[in-house]
Amino acid sequence: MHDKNALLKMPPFTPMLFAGFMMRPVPAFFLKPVAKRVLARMKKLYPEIFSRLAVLENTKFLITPTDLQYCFYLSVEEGQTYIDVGVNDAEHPEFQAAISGPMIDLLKLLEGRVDGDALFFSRALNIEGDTEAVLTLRNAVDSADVSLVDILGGPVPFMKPGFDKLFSKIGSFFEYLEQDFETVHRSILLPITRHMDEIDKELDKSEDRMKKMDKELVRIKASLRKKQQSNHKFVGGMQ
Amino acid sequence: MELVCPAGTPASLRAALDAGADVVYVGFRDETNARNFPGLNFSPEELEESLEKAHDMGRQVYVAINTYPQAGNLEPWYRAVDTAARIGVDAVILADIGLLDYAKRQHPELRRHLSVQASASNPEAINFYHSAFDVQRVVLPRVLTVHEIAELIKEIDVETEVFAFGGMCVMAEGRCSLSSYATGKSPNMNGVCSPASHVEYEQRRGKLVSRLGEFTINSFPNEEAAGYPTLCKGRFVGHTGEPSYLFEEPTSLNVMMLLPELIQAGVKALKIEGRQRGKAYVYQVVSGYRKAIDAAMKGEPVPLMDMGNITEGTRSTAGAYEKNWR
Ligand code: SF4
Repeated sequence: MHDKNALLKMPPFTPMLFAGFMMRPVPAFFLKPVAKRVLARMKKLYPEIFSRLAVLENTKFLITPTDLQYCFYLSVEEGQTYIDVGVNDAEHPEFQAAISGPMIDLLKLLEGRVDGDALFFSRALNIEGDTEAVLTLRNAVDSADVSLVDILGGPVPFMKPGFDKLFSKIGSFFEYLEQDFETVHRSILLPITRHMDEIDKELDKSEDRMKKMDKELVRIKASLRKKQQSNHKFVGGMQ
Repeated sequence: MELVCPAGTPASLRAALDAGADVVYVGFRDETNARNFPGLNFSPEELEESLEKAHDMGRQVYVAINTYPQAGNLEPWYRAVDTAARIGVDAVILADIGLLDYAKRQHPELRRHLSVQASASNPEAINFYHSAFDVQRVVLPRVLTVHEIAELIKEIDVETEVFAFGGMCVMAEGRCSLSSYATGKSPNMNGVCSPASHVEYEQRRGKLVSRLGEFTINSFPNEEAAGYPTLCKGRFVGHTGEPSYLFEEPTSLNVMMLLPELIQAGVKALKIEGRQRGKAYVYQVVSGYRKAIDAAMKGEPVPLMDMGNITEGTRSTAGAYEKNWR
């Protein structure tokens, strides 16, 4: 359930990471009403998501955008869905399933612009815990044509065209930025990751060696026991 | 050549139609459907709406009722066939002989296709299904070469549908029980080789460790593309002592480059697998195949699309269609 690899918690080098730095002074407390408002709006716009989610009985998800310092607790309790916001390095309340990945990928997933399995295959997305619950959530969200513009656009219809334009401009700017960050990220991290891989390999080898020694020990113990038993028998036979 | 595409939700169905599917196949949200996964599938009302949309666009919808009815509990399967007939779907995809018989007797006008789960891959079996239940089309298992398919088509009186893209299976479908040993759930009854209820992923020292039930199936080093924890695609320790893929690697099926040969062989329809995948997958694969089929039908070179990111292990193969061993 828990991540045994502290290094993997290293956030990906994305524009969101910098956005996260800038948002650091904003406590999670202030984001809670925003998250709750977004959820309420989604319930209104896409009821089909929540009716599909209702099959989950009392399931809590931890959703972590790895390049932000915030995380989301999404819970389904007796057919109702709730959301809360926390901070990444805090002690989390109990959860059954965890999803983590760069914020931009999580948003693309929400809008159905990317396939969840594809993100998983390419290792951009991590899931842990109750896999069936995670897939239920993915299927439910994917059943609606979710649009962030519609969620955030609010109820003022005449503002929507302008909002749409602005949003698509921000979107494409962000995509360029993301590609640039990816390039820089690779060039900086390559030597370090190589080194880490070597260490990992060494650790694996040691683990294998330990396992072999364990097996050997079990074998030796068993043969000792056998020898002792046959000695006993022999002594018993003498009487 | 008809392009038959998957949809697990009405949104995926819309994506498939927008991307150029001729037919979308779906299933009900119950045990009659081999892809009966939580959060997925269609209620009768959703199917009715979706069918209307498809028909408005001049396209079709098939319904897969492709599990085997349980002894003493036939009702859900009969009901599914009755509902599909009432709604007016364009065909039902069935695997069970009893259910084929029921559909033929109760709804003779409802078009019947034989599911891949029936595992009919020789002329005798297919002609029997045709004469006994008036089956109009057979979905062939992914175990035949293009040449074998061409030969088969000469000896049967029904249309053939073949898998073009998606999950890669190395055995005769409908007959594999590998996952039953590990989880108690088989692809034949539960429609999946790695049931999510038994799947577990763990991050361990930069590796993604995947498990199915009690068994570790794979351990993907950092940066290596991952796959589902399917037993036939696991990395195991054989006599060499090093973990390796003993049966098959994590990979997806993709026969795009064989389209001209399949058309030549007389195949009637191409099937895309993946009702359990998201609508982004559906849109990407269907639009790629739409372009490829249109080009192949005009005799133009097939534009090969890069499907890398959506394939398992980010790799694909034409599998048995072009097998050269034997
Ligand atoms: S476990 Fe492998 S061989 Fe068996 S049905 Fe699944 S994909 Fe095919």
